[in-house]
Amino acid sequence: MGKKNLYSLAALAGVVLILPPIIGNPYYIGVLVFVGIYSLITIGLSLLIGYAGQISLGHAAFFGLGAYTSGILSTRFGLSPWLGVVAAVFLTCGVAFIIGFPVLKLKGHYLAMATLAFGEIIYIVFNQWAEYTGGPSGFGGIPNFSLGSISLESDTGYYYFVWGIVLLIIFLSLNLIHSRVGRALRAINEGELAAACMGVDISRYKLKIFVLSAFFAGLAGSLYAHFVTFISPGTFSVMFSIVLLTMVAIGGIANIWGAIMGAALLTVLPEYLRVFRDYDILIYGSVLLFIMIFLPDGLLIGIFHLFRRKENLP
Amino acid sequence: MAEILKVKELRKEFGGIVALQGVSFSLESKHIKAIIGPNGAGKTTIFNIISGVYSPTGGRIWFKGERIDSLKSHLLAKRGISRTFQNVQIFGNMSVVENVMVGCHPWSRSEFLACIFRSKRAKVEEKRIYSRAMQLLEFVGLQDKANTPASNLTFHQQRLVEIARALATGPELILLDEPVAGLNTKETRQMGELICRIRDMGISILLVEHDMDLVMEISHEIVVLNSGKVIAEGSPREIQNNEKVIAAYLGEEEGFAKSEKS
Repeated sequence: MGKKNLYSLAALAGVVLILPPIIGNPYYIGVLVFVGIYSLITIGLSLLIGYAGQISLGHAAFFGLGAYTSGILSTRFGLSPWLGVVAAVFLTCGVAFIIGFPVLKLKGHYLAMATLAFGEIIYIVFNQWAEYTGGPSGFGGIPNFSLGSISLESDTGYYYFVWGIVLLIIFLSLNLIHSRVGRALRAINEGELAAACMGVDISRYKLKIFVLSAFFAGLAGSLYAHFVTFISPGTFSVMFSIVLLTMVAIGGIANIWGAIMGAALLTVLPEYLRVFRDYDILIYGSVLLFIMIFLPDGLLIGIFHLFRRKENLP
Repeated sequence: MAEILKVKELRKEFGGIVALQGVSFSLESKHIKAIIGPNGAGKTTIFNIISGVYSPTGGRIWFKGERIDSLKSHLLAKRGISRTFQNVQIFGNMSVVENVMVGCHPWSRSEFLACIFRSKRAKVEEKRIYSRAMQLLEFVGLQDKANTPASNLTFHQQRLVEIARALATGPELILLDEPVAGLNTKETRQMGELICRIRDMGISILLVEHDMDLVMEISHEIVVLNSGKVIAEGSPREIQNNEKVIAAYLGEEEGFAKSEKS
């Protein structure tokens, strides 16, 4: 990892640390918890889409699998949330492995369609397997995390917990990107033929990065369930997969930092647009359009270039 | 001298089209062998089969005495067969040195977990990969371009990156698919010298090329292919004087002139 990334990570850690006292309002801190949770998913998606060049429209399902596994185990079986997280992540990875094995043989639109179908199937399971999932109305009473006697129930406490994990995941993802495996993944994205002839086992690497991105989504799902304490299928529909994809695209696909910015923008923006009442969707759409048209490389690189251009003016 | 590569009765059909109809030849270790022939003769198809991109419809291939005709590309790379492409296939969005570092994949080991947690072994290995890549960039003369995005290079330089990347795999056999196509005279001469230097490293070379001057100058043996069949095999001198070759490939008049000259 380069020095630049290390500084960026330190800067982000600093921002994460000082934000709660500045914001104060627990509601907005709660919004930032969601930003952190969604960031985990978008980081994984950025690795999968931006670096390895594969697509998934099924990540809301992995997110849901994590949430439901954790939620069901801790409510119906009285398992500790900590064990719930472990189980959630394992189950999500297992499902990703089984699904990824056949599905990743497909490319482009076909891969998108297959993962979309997978997402839809899982969504139907959440709705129909009412005995455990509570059906369309979901279920509540999911316990919060606690560290010994310290409960992570408060928004601020959970905020630091989630963002600590996000920072760790960013660090590990940057390690991966700037490594032998990261280069191999980018090589697959740029040309499978050449990558294979350089000794990269393409199908194995695709599967592994798919499982890793599902790992992040499953972890995020578990963190989500133990935060909101109530889950229902609506959150994990295919529509949310598309929102996740938009977050990654808005941030700039092959960019971990962009993935976080995308998650932040698309989570925070709707909150602030509430003042416009009925027009909020209109403005939300306009903002997305603006970014896509004028900053096609994503928010992060786009803003960077805007500043560059100004500097270069005489 | 030992045979490093032996191809026997190789057949390939694409649907109803027969691209190769029983091609046999062999390559001596540390030699340069050229495969020539008119367009559509099946030269690149042979390369694609040897490098595992296609599987043959029939026939056998031995590399260092072992059958390799059903192996996938990445396994062949690990065994010591590397290649370049007719239409340069570099990783344009990666830097030049990163391109070559991808080539180090077959002999390096760090997998996902080691890379994610940056284990001590992965760090040591990363340094080895980097220094090997830089060494090879120096070998092809691109050390100054190490951090340039590969897509910003000239066509000639991109070809050199491909060769450095192929060498990075640590090959014993390298397949060069038209390495001087699109290059000017000076660049062609440099490329010829580079190919000879690669052979001097002890690497066997199989070459597909249309530039006859280069082929005649650097290759030990030549195989001539026409519509999926070997029509001649021998030293450059023998090939230049072979009437079948002259008729099928060089064209009557030019062939006549060449054989007069030699």
